[in-house]
Amino acid sequence: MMAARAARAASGGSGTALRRSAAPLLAPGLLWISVVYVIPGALILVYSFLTPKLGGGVVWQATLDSWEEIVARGRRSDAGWGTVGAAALRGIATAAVAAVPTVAAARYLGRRISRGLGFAALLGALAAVNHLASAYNNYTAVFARSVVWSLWATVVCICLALPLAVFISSRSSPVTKNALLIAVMVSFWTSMLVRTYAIRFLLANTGPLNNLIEALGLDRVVFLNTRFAVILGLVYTALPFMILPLYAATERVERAQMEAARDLGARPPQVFADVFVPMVRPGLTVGVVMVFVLSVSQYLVPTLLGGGKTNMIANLLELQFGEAFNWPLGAAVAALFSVVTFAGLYLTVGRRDQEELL
Amino acid sequence: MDQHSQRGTVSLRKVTKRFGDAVAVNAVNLEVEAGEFISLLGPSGCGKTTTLRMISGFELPTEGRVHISGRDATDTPPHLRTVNSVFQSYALFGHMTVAENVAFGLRVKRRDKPTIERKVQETLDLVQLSDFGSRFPGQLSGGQQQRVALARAVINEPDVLLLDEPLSALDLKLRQAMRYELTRLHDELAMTFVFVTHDQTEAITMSDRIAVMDQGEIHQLGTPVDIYERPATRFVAEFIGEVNMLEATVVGGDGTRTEVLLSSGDRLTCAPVGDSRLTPGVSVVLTVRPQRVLLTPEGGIDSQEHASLRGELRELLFLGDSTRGTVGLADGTELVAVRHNEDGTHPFGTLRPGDRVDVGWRHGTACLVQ
Ligand SMILES: Nc1ncnc2c1ncn2[C@@H]1O[C@H](COP(=O)(O)OP(=O)(O)OP(=O)(O)O)[C@@H](O)[C@H]1O
Ligand SMILES: [Mg+2]
Repeated sequence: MMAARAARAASGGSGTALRRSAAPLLAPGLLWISVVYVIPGALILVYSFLTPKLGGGVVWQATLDSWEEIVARGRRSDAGWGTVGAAALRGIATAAVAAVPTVAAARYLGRRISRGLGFAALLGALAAVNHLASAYNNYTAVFARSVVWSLWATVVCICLALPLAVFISSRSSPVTKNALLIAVMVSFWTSMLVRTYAIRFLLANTGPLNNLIEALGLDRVVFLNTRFAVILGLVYTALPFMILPLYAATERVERAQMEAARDLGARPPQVFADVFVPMVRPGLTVGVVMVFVLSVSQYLVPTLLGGGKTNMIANLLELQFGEAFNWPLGAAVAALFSVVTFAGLYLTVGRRDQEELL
Repeated sequence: MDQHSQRGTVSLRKVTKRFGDAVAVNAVNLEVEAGEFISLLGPSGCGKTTTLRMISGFELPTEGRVHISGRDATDTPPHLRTVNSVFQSYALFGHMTVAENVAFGLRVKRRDKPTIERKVQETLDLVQLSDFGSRFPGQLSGGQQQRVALARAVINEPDVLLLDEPLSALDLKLRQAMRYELTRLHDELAMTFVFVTHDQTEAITMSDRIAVMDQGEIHQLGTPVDIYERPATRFVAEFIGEVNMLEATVVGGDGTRTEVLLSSGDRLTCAPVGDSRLTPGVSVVLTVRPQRVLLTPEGGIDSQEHASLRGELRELLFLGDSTRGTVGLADGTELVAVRHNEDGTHPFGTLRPGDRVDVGWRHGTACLVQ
């Protein structure tokens, strides 16, 4: 809400007029987007209604089999109502516990209490979904796992990237800044496969981390093939995509506005919430979308760090396309997941920040 | 002294601020009285902003103490000080409406909603922006943004309002209007204003007192009349308005007068400026405003009441509302006299360039500075 208002304010309220007159200029871009995204997307959708061919590919014969299969596999579960009840309980408990600090924070920052409660409820819902996702082993669970793990990765990325972005942009010498930014981007220079294997090596039961733990006199810990390892891998791969837009946004933060807030009696946390965050919000939105989208579609990380299971959506797709040779089913899964992700992103960040992203 | 009567006072005690080796503010002492409009005036880089920021708490003095409303506030963080600032760049919150901007200070202090709404409306009325509450700062003109910045600060009823060159971003006309506006606000709010500017007209027209600063030091603190008529240093004399400066040496005098020898060879008697360092042998500068200088044909100045010098009229310049005469003294030093033109007659009579003339001024209108 606030960020969109800021965008409106900055454009002097003439945003719509501007966009209308800029329409012809957008034509090449739209063409490009349709070639690269819309046509393949449509193709996937079409494939999902076709008949699988043995050994891969499709037979051009329309059927609803794949979608029926998805619904069936989504329903089928190895857990009963007990699991659902446990998940619900877990969600409620999490929300109740989380409400204490969130409401306190809302009060401290002078926000409405309902905002604190809403945030706690969101955390509770996530906890419940998380529980369901680990208990069930069907398509719904894979979907839920992909989303929840990616959300975790996004949150961790924000927590790591924000202080780092502030640190980099607060350096006075441009040389230092560039050096730090390059350091952030250095990881892009190595193949992702190599990097993921490197993490695997680090976390292995006989790897350096466990050796260190043992040297400290503690028991070895199983890191590999756990949720922890996958989320760590997701964070590691996506972190630069959070740091860079956040850094760009932090660079534009007006120091004077933060001082003005301080001058008007705001304590440092209030300055952060009321002035700093709204000012870096466009960068934060871009970072969140990038990290989430990158994480949710990750294949290497869940495969190499999560064990050979169908951990996330990409593993499921690989299973259908590569091993089961059921292309239409894979296409249906991909189409459904894309629509759900897109809708989810649109509902959470898109509607609010579309003006900044455009 | 009790706390109540000191509300609104600011006291800087031997305040020094160094950035590395550079001294931005050097052992400044300043006592600001409650409710007064005081200006810090000086050229760019003289330490005005730094001084102000030590009052608002954004810079810590390297040495010295800052007292606000009778309390030592040197170690108080900015958000706990009873002062508010109007920033040169306004620093309005672009993502909040005008009303939200103005309400900010009260909101972070968790005042209740009806109070906030009432006070926001009152304050917007005060700065004549009653109908602009729902706009965003980006949709306002510079002058309107300036008023929002003012409203946002004064709504908190600070003991002291700090203004750092608040008018410098406005065009000339608006600047003049805002000058009036600021003095009106000062009268209505009965709040202490500490106003930073490098514009002498602004300082002279608005202030109760002016502190003239240069290179981190306060050269003179006084009323606009003091500053203009009795500059304490050569810098002050030069910085404020146009002035004639004649090099001179003190040759004698007592408590009521000082005798000096000008470089042109003339001996003059001046009123002392209360500076005991003016002992014989000290070289000084005699300053006198062009408006105070009389320019007549030879022998036309009454030497009982006036100091007078002999010279030659070099140039007469018609300036529309006034005429400006430049006189060369015996050693070639120049002295300027400016007279208002009245009802079409020439203020310097029939004098023409090349004429031998007398220039002089009433005793007491010239000042000796070091
Ligand atoms: N953060 C800082 N680090 C180093 N030097 C500084 C800093 N802030 C100010 N200075 C120096 O201190 C001196 C005084 O600066 P200040 O901003 O107080 O001047 P000013 O009188 O407000 O000038 P202006 O009229 O240009 O705003 C200047 O020489 C400036 O370069
Ligand atoms: Mg300044």
